[in-house]
Amino acid sequence: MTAKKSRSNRGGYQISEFAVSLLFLFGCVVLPLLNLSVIPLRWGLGNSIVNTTVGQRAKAETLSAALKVNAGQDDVIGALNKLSGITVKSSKLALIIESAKLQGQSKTITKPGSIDRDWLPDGPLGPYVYRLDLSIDCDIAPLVVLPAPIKMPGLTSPFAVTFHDAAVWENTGRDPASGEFFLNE
Amino acid sequence: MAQVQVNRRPRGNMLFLCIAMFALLIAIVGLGFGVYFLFFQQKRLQTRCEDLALKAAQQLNLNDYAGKLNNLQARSRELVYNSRQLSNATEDDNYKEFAPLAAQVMNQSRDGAILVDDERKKYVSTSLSKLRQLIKNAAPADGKSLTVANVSADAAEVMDFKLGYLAGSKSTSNVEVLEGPPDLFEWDLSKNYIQRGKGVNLYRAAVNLKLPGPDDDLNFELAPLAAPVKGTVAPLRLTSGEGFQNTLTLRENYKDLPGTCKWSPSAVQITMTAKVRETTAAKLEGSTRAASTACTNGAGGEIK
Repeated sequence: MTAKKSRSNRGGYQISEFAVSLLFLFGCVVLPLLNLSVIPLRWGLGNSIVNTTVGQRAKAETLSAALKVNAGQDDVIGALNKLSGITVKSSKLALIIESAKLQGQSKTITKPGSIDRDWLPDGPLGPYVYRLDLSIDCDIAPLVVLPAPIKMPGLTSPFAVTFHDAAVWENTGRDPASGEFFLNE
Repeated sequence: MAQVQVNRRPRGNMLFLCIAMFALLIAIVGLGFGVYFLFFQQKRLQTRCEDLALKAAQQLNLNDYAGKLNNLQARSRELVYNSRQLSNATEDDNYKEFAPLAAQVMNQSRDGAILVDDERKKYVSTSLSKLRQLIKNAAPADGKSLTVANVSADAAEVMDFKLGYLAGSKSTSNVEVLEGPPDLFEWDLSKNYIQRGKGVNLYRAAVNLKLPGPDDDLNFELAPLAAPVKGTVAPLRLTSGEGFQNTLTLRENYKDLPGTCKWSPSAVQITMTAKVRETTAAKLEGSTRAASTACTNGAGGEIK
C-alpha cells in the first residue's frame, strides 16, 4: 500500500513561504528602494542648477549684477522649486576674498561697494582669490512620502541637503567711467 | 509495511523571479548611469567651450597689438589735423615760404594715416585667419567619441562662432583723449566722439572719427577695447554674454561663413554641441549644447 502523495510531499510547502517572501521582497526592499532612488536623481538635478547658476553669476560685469535678485523670486530658487520634490528653505550668495599673504583668513562680502581698500586687487595683501559662493539649504522628498508617526528622512519625511558651489570671479578690471573696480560696484 | 514514495519535482519559480528582479535592478542602474553620463558630458562640453572661447579671445589682442594700433591710429589722426592747421597757417603772406614744407608734412601725415589704416586691415585679416584655423582644429574630422558602458558621446563640434564686442552706452576704445589742439577737442565733443569719464576721457569705438574737410576722406575707426585705468589692465576673462554685440559671424549652424570686419573685435561667443547616444536597448540619441562668451584682455598703458 502506498501512501497518498500529499501536497507537502510534492514540495507544496513552498507556496505558503513564497507569498510571504514575495511580499517581503516587494514591500520592504524593492518599493522602498524605488522610493529612495528618486532622491539622488533630484539631488543631481539640483546640484547641476546650482553649479550652472553660480558659474553664470561669477561672469557678471559687476558685483551688484551678480548679487541682484529678481523682484520677488530669485532665478535659482525658482528653478529649484520648479523641480518636483525640492523645497528651498534658505539661500546665501556672497563674494569670498582670500589673501595669499594671510593664510586661513578670508572676507565675506554680501553687499556691493563694501570691499575695503586692503582687499581690492591692488591692495597690500595681494594676490587675492575672489570666489562667488552659493549655498542653498533645501529638502528633497522621496517619490512617495509615506505617512508614519516616525520621521525617517527619505521615507516618511524629506531629506535635508545643502547645495554648495563656488566659482572664481572673472572681472577684476576697473570701470573707466568711475575708476572703481567692477567687483566693488 | 507501506512504502511512501516521495516524488519531489523540483518545480519552482523563485529563480526566475530573482533573475527578473536583477534584470530590473540592472535596468534601473543603467538608467541612472545614463543620466549621470549626461550631466558629466554636459559639464565636459561646457569646460571645452570655455577653454576654446578663452583661447580665441586671447588671439584678439595678442601682445596688445590691437591696443597699440588704436593708439597709433588716434595719434596719426591728431598729426593729420595738426599738419592741416599748419598748412592752413602758411597761406598767410608772412609764412608763404614755409608752404611747401607744410604741404610735404601734411602729405606725409596723410600717407601715414592711410598706412596705419592698411596695417589695421592686415592685422584684422591675420587675426581672422588664425581664428578660422582655431575653429577647424577645435573639432577635427577624426574626432574620437567617448564610450562608457552603454552610452557614448561624440566629439564636440563648433556650431556657432561669433565675433563682436560688449556694448552698452559705454562702448569705448582704450585711447585717452590727450590735451591737444582745443579746436580738435571741441570738434570731437560736438561730434560725440568722446566718452567723458572720471579722470580720463576716452575716444568712442566702432565710430568713424572723421576729421573736418578736406581730410574727411580718411577713416579713423578705433577698435572697442578696455582701457587701462589707474594702472589696472583688464584681464582676459569669461563673461555672461549680456550685451554682446555681434559684428562678424565666422560659423553659423556648422557652416563656415566668409567675411571680414573693419576693426578688431574684442569679444567672442561660441556655441558647441555633442551628440549623446544610448547604444544597447532603446537606441536613444540626443545632443547637448554649451555656449560661452569671452572678452579679450584690455590694452596696456600708452608709452608717453
